[in-house]
Amino acid sequence: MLNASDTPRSDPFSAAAAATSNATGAHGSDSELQQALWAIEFQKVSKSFGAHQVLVDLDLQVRPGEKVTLIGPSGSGKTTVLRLAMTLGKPTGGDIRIFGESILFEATGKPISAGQETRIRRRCGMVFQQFNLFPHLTVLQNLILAPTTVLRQSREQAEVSALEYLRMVDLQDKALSYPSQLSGGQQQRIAIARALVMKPEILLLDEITSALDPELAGEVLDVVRGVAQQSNVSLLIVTHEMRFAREVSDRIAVFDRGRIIEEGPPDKIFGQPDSERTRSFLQSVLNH
Amino acid sequence: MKAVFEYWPVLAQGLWVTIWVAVCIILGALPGAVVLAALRLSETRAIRVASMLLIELIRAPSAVVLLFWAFYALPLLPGMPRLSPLVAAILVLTLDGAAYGAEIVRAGIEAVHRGQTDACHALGVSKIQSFRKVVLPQALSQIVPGFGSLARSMIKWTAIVSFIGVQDVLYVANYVRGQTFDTLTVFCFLGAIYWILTALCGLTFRALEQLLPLNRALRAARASAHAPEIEVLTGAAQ
Ligand SMILES: Nc1ncnc2c1ncn2[C@@H]1O[C@H](COP(=O)(O)OP(=O)(O)O)[C@@H](O)[C@H]1O
Ligand SMILES: [Mg+2]
Repeated sequence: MLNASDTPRSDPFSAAAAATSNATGAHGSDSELQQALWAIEFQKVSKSFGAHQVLVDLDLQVRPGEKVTLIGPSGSGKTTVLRLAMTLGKPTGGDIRIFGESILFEATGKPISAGQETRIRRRCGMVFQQFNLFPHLTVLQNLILAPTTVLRQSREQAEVSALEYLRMVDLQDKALSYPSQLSGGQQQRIAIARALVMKPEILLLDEITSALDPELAGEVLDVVRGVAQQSNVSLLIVTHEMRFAREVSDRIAVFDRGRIIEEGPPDKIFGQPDSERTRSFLQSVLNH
Repeated sequence: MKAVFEYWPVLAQGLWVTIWVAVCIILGALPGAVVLAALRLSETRAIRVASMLLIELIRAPSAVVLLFWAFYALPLLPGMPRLSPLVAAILVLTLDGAAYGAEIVRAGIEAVHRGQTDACHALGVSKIQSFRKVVLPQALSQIVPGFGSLARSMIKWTAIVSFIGVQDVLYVANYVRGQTFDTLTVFCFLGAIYWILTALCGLTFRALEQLLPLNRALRAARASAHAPEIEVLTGAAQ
């Protein structure tokens, strides 16, 4: 266990070589090809903050279009997983791949260049617990900032598409409001729209209803249900809303102390979990 | 009162010098402060430490000492130019203002919530763009008021330039007092002048604050928070 996190540099090298041989069809079976095409793939990822090891040799995969939910006690490392996938931090060991491309290393094993990282990172979007809307900008300006600066769309073009997404979250009449004029639920719906205008192939949702009153959480979850049904975006969700997780997920991974202790389809996890710790966690949440 | 009227042309000239020096050092301190703050927040540790030392070095001695140093001591060093009083004064006070301003700028930038840059990162926005479009516009709402009170102080700092013979309003007023012996009038006039100048400066910065994007957003939010109350009131009246 210690060894794996001590020698991160050698891992990606062989992994990259494996991916190449897949692509050239050396052992071109379907399952191997599919493996290179995971939307998100964590390979033996560990992460420490100082002496505190938060993730331990984590392996996690999300297929393109798959909806995966992470559940588990708070402090177990779920946010850390999403932040690492979003390159909002670097793991201490292991490799993370987005659609087969490492977000950490070049094929040669050297650290990835900033330009490469940015290119791969653009395939991911993230929505945060605290919304993180830009308070000095109107809703519409929040939505067009990235399209105009990153994708170099014209303002008109960006506004047309922004209004479409605002309609999707049913807030087209708030385009000219400032975030502080909106309810928490409305702000979070704007944050989702802001992530979606960038047309991410992967969307990371970190406890997006935890800062909301229960009656406002519903409208936000409805938006996510819509996104899950109508698009083939890959979703990696962290949530404490178990009913929602059960409905929307293809797969659930149960987290505890930086490891996945159990994963499987929602019916299995909520119906007859294997692990005693899963059972006690679910009990504590459902009784809450 | 006669003293002020009689000597008005001289006093006006001194006043003009004071205003000129103040405007120069305030406008000069602003970009200086931004540059020093940027160095202070550098990702390279050596640059961070060096800029911090430089800022402390500038702020530590009294401005008068720094001024004497630049005017009297600097030319004694090999290869250093002899500065005119006006240039030495503007240089020293600009540096001093930049050093104080740097801490205001740094604090303003650091006060912007981490979630803001996280959100930019998640949207693929580059560091430079996220600073320009998200961090700085919000930081300005802290920086501008801070810089406003620094600027008011800097107006008062200008008085020390008379120590090396720059003929600012204090220098001239002292001269007029010597000529007329009307100490009370002259010094009341002087007090009023500094009061007016700092008040004007304060008003300018207050007006500037109103233009900042975050302040505009907060005003809009306050206005809409009051709107429902008005509705309720008119509703009750019907
Ligand atoms: N930036 C950080 N610095 C130090 N410790 C951190 C940091 N971020 C998270 N942690 C620690 O990592 C652990 C896991 O945190 P997190 O991923 O937020 O858990 P979860 O989202 O499951 O509640 C916690 O113990 C937390 O204190
Ligand atoms: Mg969390």
